[in-house]
Amino acid sequence: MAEATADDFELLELPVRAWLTHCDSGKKHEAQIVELTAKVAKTKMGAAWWSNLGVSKSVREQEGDHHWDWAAEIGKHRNSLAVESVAVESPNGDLQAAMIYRVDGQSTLEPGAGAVFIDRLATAPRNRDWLVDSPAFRGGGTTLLSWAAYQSYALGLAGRVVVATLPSPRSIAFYKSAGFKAVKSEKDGMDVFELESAAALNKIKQTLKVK
Amino acid sequence: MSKIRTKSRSGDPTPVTGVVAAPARLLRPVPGLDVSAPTSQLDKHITRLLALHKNVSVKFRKVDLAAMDDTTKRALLASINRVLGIEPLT
Repeated sequence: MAEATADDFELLELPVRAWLTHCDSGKKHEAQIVELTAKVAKTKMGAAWWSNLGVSKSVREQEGDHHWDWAAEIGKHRNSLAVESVAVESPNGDLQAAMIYRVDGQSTLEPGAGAVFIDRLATAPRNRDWLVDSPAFRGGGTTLLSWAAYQSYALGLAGRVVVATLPSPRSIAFYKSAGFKAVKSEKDGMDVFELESAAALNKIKQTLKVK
Repeated sequence: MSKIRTKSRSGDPTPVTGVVAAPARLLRPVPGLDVSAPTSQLDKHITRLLALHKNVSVKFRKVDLAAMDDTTKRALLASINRVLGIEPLT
């Protein structure tokens, strides 16, 4: 992902360099993790994410985030330091993945310990191989997960990251492969996954190129 | 009959993740985060650290970020990191 020293926490200051893999060529493309403001979300997500996909409206509407209004969600939390929003931007200015996270999360595996909580995470529809025939980039989502783990570490939360999703085989496969541990579903019917400290540190070190 | 999609290239496997409201059991009350004053990323980070770690905020209770230049803020951040044991990732 980023190439910077970690000892002075330069990585906390966006934009941060990141990498995406072009699905067609397999080549790495330089990208950036950028702050996602409501204005940017309004301009570069919404219609920009959902147009020119070559799929019907009914297919698009089956995507869980088709109705999400990222700009409104970000605007709702503009006066709270508990919530932050970031995105991965490719060189052409398109947003390839986006995430809203909270710093006031709670660990489910270490009672009383804090964690970063991922409120929303999605890759751009153009990158979803279950939706389009020729996905553009991969790596945006995992880059943002590493960013969340790094934020957790830098905030003294030991890299712990918690996420809650509606149950789906895709979520289980993705979060387990990303090093998260599945936490038993409770009565609210959601699947909860947690990235523990040791796994988080490994993930950060693998992803961040520390000098 | 629905179309069977032949996958020729792997895309980004990131699933759409998010729920209508974060479950209360996965959040904890952290006073001091509902402030709009800090504008720079450095200010936000220091303010978050002080809010998340009350033991540290006692030690640095006279901190006034508005009165500090960037160099002083970075020195403060280094001090907070030392107290919290947040070490460089090497």
